[in-house]
Amino acid sequence: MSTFEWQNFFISPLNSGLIFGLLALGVFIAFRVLDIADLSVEGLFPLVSVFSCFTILQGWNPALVIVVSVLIGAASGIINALLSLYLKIPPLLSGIVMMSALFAISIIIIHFNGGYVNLSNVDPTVYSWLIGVFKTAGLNTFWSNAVAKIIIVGVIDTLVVALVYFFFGTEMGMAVRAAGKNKQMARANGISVNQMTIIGLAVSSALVALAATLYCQHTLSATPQDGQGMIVLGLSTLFLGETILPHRSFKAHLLSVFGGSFIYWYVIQILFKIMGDGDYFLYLYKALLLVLILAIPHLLKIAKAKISRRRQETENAPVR
Amino acid sequence: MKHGNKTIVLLASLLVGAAALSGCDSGKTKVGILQFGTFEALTNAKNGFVEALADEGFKDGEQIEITVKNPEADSATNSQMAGVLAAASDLVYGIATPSATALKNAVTSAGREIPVVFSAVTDPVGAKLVAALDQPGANVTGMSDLGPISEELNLLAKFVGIDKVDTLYTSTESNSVYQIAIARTTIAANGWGETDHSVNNASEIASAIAAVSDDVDALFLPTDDTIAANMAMVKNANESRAKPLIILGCDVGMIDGCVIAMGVDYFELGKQAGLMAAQILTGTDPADIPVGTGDSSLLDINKTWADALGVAIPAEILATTGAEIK
Repeated sequence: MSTFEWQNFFISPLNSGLIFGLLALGVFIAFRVLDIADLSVEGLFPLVSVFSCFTILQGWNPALVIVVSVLIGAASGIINALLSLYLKIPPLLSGIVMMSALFAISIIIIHFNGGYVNLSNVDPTVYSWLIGVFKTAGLNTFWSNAVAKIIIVGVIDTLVVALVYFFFGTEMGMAVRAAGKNKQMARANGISVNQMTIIGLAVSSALVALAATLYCQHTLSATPQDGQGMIVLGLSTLFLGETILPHRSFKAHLLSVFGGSFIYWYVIQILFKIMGDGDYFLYLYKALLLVLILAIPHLLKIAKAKISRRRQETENAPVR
Repeated sequence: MKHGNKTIVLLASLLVGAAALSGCDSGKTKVGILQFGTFEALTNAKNGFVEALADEGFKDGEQIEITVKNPEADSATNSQMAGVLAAASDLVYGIATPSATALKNAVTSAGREIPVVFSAVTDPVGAKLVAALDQPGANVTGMSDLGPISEELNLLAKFVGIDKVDTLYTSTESNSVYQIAIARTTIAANGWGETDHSVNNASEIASAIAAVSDDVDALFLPTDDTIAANMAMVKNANESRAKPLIILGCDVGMIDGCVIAMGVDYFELGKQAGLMAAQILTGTDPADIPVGTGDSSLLDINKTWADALGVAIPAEILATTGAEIK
């Protein structure tokens, strides 16, 4: 492989892993902490992508775009929770309703802008400034891009994980976790389960929105199709992390989500390498590889149990 | 999880192994193709490209080495694949707007100055691929698939009794949204009433056509991947209407379900893009190759179906030179 290929082989999954780790964290909070399968992700992701590119084209400051995107995410989470809590729409369905509505808004924005909201590389993004700094420092284009993006997303990820960890350690955060774990018990302890669900979903959707805006500013393009497969991506990342990495404590569980994200994107990158030409089998291989990775720890456990049982048997066998 | 470390070691060795496996370098010029999805139009654009390159003396496996990647319309996979191709190729070819823009951005952020050729992009300027159509000015050029929308609608004006025209397109396809805006202006200029229906996926096509009101006479279809791939569905839905619509398509590949299809032939479009790539490989600067458009004089008429529907095609249109009548 050429230098370019090596660089791309290691850096590209790192970038994607860092960004989609936030998505997985959002899915984690909804699915694991609150025990809600929130499908609105598939509509929120393209909406925020399209919105971010559109507003940047309108001349908004990229940092402001990120803040507003996170607020949009939080608002979407709140509306989603209100739909299911007060209008008694089952959570799965309220997620689907939100998905359609948000997706529709992304289409409206695209129409308003004549079909495209793509950015060119002269449009400012949240990464531009730091990329410029590294370029003036003499780094080549590839490394300026790579290092700037990894630093910015890395710092955001670290802050987010720290904040989320801190938040779920506070009284309110504990109450959210309790409300997700056992509603009756939480109620009996004087926790307002409804309020906690609203807060939890707001945090979850805000994280998904953050991932979306960071991602579209990384790829410089957005279409309403961007949400396709996002919930599956979030869930497979989450399960990968949980199966392979330790997740007994809450802190470890948070980190395992990001670990899962890196593993997922490196696996995809390996598949691209192995397959070379024609990707008709890509999704089949992806499925098989995921099954393999998810099954390894379980199979190892069974094998180990068998070995230790056999050893015990031989030890306990009567001496002749 | 106790065995976590072992699994990680296993994964890491797989990673290094895969990287080492693909380490062989043939020294041939590498051409990377990113085809956004498996749609007939896009596959034709790929095949035409490969054929034109071979005709110009760049045969796959001999003079050049072609790698084709297809993310099956998944955005995240699309940009990941674009990164892989941008790093590994000497020239990349993007089919459809999302793939073309992903390749351009991947090439730029990898700091590589390799040429990017595109096709099946309707508005290369709006999609930020080139600065201007006649002077692309950088490492990107290709073929636009913008069909002769106004010319085709002007043909419709020759039919008797047209009062209202509907447009049907996929709302998530940027290219379609762009064309519908052009079509609307022409429809209004002809003094017709205009309605439109959009779908999000193929399953909605039949109900969208059924939902077109009965006073509508004709239906305009832009070059739209989802609709082009489901023309049989369009045909069936139209046949079950009380008053079938006169359907006009912007892609000659759509002719089976249309009365008239005018404009883009994606195989030819791919061939033109292939010729551009051959030019670039022999030393022409892509900045100097203007963005091309398909041969817009192509006109297909589906007379068999028009007769079955009871639509009279004006003799003037049937007499058009070069028209292919089925």
